Amino acid sequence: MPMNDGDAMKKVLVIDDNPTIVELIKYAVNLQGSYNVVVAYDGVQGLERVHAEQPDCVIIDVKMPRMDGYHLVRFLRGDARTADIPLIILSAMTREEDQLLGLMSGVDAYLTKPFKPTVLNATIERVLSLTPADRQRRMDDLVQAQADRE
Amino acid sequence: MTSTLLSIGKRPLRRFQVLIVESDAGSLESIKQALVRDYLIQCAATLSEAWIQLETHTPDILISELVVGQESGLELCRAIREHPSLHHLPIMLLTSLATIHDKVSGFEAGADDYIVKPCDTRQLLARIRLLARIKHLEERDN
Repeated sequence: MPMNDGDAMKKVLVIDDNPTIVELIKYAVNLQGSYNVVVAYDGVQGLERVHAEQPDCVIIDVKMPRMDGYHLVRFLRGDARTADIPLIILSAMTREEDQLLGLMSGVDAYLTKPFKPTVLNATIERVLSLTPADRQRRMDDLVQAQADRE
Repeated sequence: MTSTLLSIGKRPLRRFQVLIVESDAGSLESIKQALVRDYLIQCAATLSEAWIQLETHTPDILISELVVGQESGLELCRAIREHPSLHHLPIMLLTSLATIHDKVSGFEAGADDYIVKPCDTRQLLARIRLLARIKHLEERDN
């Protein structure tokens, strides 16, 4: 469960331009857990809400107006104030290259639509437990994979 | 902080050419120190110097401050995006400006990445290395 005795309710920010998908995600994340869900409907609004709300986890679409999800992830990872917020991409883009772009941009997990609520909840719980050292290791692995490719 | 990128893996990395556009001598020196082991470095303190470098030795990646003396790194970003042979160049803004407005302006001007100073050296090294591949993948989709 996402909450322990004495813990404050975790805040999840959902950034997706499709209101129907937003409602589905809100429903799904509260099926098993209990989260305070806040919402943004484009990348720039999402950037503003991350700074204003300081969420515990952010679920981000890729194709959005004003700023796409990959840029949003990179711009969040590049600022010490937001660099260690757990980030999940939830996208309809299913190619291996799309997932690689997400991971290289700095996302902690890449899920595809349609999604299973159980998988989304398990992923949220997993990314909430990641540390800055975990993220650095993942980045190092990606760099090495890139070197092997060259 | 020491530069450790090349020691992460078993295989050495190709030394990317990086153009740093930075008018503050102290900042330039600290960025150079962070990168010099793993990257080939070109420097420019003004936008004019940057253009000379871009047109004579096109780098793999451009790293620019937003404030370049009395000039703007945004102007450089926009000009690169409109340039017929340079518009694919990966651009990272490495800046002390950190408002949401600054970041959105950077994105709209064409920056691919945005890092707020001071930043972790190891993160910076890795992100430079990955940005070229990211840019390639994104360009292929557009």
